[in-house]
Amino acid sequence: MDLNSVTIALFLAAGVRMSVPVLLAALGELVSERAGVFTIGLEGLMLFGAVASAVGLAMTGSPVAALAIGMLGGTLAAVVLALGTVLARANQIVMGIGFNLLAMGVTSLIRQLVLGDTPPAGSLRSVTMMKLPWLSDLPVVGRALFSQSPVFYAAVLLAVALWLMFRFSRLGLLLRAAGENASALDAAGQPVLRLRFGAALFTGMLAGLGGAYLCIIASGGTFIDDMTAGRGYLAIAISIFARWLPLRTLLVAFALGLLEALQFQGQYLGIQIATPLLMATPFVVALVAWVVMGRVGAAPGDLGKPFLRGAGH
Amino acid sequence: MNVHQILAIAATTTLGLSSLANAADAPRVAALFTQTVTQGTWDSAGYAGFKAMADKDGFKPSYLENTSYEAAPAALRQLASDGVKLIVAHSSGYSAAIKEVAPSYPNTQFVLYSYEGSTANLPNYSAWSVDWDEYGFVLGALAAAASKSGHIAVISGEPIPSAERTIEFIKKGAAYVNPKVQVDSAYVGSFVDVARAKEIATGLIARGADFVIPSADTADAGVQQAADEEGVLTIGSYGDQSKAYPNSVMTSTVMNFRKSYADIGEDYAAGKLGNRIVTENLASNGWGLVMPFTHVDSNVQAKVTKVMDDLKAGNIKIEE
Repeated sequence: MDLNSVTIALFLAAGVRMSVPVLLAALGELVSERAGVFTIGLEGLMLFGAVASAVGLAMTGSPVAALAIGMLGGTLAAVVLALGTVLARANQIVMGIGFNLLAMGVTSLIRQLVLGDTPPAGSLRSVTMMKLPWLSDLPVVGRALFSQSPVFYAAVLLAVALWLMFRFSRLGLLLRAAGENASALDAAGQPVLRLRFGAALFTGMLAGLGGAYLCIIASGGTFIDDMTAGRGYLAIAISIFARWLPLRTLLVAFALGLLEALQFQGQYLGIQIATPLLMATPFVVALVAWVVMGRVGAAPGDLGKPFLRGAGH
Repeated sequence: MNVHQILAIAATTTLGLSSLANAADAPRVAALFTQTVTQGTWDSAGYAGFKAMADKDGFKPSYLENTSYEAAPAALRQLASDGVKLIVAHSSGYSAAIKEVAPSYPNTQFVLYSYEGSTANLPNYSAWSVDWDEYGFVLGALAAAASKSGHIAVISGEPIPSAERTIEFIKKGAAYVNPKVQVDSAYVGSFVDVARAKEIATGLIARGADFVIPSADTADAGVQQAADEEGVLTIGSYGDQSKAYPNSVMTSTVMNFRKSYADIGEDYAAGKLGNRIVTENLASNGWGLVMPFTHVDSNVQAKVTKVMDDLKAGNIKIEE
């Protein structure tokens, strides 16, 4: 195995890039879960964001506009999902699974109707790479952390902002209350459904951006049917494993990104682990996360429970 | 069975019911694809060949997309029960499903396109088997001929036996042209994950590979994007992709699906199908390369053409 500084920098950089889509979706998921809404439909929201961004790129030719349209696509899709899970009080698990299946079919149909077989020509450089002055010249970490997409920097800042919001702001307190004890919050005169609906839309926006990153930045503007390939479920596992804490979510997403990078970096670094085993590692970790968190029981008290005034919890 | 397959089978069943009144019409034919016929190159080009066959021979065609190997037996039974007379399965992975189902439907001819070692003496099973060893050998040879650094890489989908065998023959072909060539290989872990394929290819290019060979079906797009962005060479798969990646595609392999499917249709009409394997290779005009090459000197094309001519003439024994 040849472990030099270039190899390590490449490995870290790949880990960061692989982590960004799931980090964005996981940050969105933790907000809705903190507010009591279990967004199983995260995979579908990412798919809608991805296809919307591909359509946006085809229509505008601007990668920045494409990312924005991806966020919009995820948000609009989240409206549909939230109408069912928040306002109509449908079972969040069943609705989410159904939504994911629907998303696979609908996004494939949109691709066939709207998109061509090849991505539009034109540079995507404005969204794929932004070297931070001075920092990007640092050995190893310069290439790994400071020569990345601006979306990655935005995701890091967002994690910090969410941490501040949940810790210090009134909005953060209200969202947490909506997830911990919605009836008590309602009794205090606060709009539980509005808070949960807003949180669900925020989740859709971030999942949409995650899907857009996957399509525009990671895949060069090419939308492939079912291209999220389980990343939405992985993001849900990350938010749980991180115990709904934004900064921990950042670290867990990066750790899983490194594991995903290890799948292929390990192959040509000469790490003598069976390739199928390397490929399975992120999902094994996700499985462990689900099992461990099931035992810890640190979830928001009203997570997954539809709010019905007077029903109590 | 995913939602695509459920919808596709429902559509096929509906088609079948609607055509009951016309049972005496032209024979019904169907095709199975692992992915979609509107994306990528393998299934879309295969579908074009299938459609051309049906149009030319006056068959009534239908097809199933996104049909996994696990779902294939049920899909094949559904089609055969529904009166489809000729079913073409467009992937070697359908072999086991056909061998399982074909004995129960002697009035339906099953044909597999891609690779088959044995038709198990079934009178209603035939295969058009591409010589993937030869294909891999040529890919390796052309990549090694074009590489200036003597360092090439191949990115495959999943570590299945056919992929491992292709890599083996890519290495043989590369070594035939340049005995000192370094050939790196890696698996994406998926045939559709473009993002991961791109990431892997980018890493291999950073390690010095100046020619990357995609061998991961739909995920090939990621390898080609990486080559296009990093300024190294690559190859188009199964159809001319030079317009999609103009900065990096040196040439493309082109499967002659129209010829193969036309042969399948003609043999079906002539009653010649059943228990036979037809080998498609350079000599049979089953596949070839887009000429002229771009981004390289003419001597690279001359060198690769010589290898291909020698293979056709049997002057190179790639098994040795």
